[in-house]
Amino acid sequence: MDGSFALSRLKQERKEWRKTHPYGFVARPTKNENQILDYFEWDCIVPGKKGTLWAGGKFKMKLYFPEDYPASPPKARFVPPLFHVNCYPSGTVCLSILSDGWKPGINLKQIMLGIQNWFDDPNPESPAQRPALELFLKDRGEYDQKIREQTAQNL
Amino acid sequence: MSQEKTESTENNQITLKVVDPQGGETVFRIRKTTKFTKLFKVYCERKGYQIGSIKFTFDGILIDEDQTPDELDMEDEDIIEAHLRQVGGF
Repeated sequence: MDGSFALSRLKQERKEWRKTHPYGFVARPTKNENQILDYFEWDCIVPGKKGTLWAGGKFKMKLYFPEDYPASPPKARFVPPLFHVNCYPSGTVCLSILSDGWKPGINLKQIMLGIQNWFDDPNPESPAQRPALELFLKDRGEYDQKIREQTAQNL
Repeated sequence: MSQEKTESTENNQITLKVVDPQGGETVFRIRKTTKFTKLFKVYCERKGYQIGSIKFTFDGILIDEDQTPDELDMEDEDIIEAHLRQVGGF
């Protein structure tokens, strides 16, 4: 596996994304020091959805694609890590479509929209960090307040 | 001969989509070497915005009105996002 199949799919995803991406979302391959595009590491912005505590926020995220993509899913990591029941302390997103629910046909737009929906859909059955889980279980109002503050810091 | 000329003219042009937060889409066909000043002005006039009240971004990065599609390596049908200045944060 030399990643050439992955690369052609990633170029195709990028081409499609440029012409059809949803408003406010950003996803572009990074450039190395010689200005060469690295299609396996992307800089992204996921906007918070209207009508949620995340609205107005623009959250910075990295997507890392493995060499055997699309057989395996990319890893999504928020930088800095988010306060969210299902965000690991490293910033990595814990989401079914990016693990056992992954299918090679899932495209970039579906990943990005899936992550936007994930913001406002905390799942305490599958927690990834302690501080957010504890507050979520103890006091939902306080959890929501923390989310609001986080959004305000990411306008 | 004439066909060749048409082709070279076409190659020098690019179709760009300006998208607003409500999902509205305005399509422009401009020369790849034309500065964005003109497109921004026409867009604002058409939409009834004051020039300067809208920021335009490509790939999440602000577009300077002195830049051209060529300079930004733009391709046909690429999306430009229009943002109201007070909402922004880019």
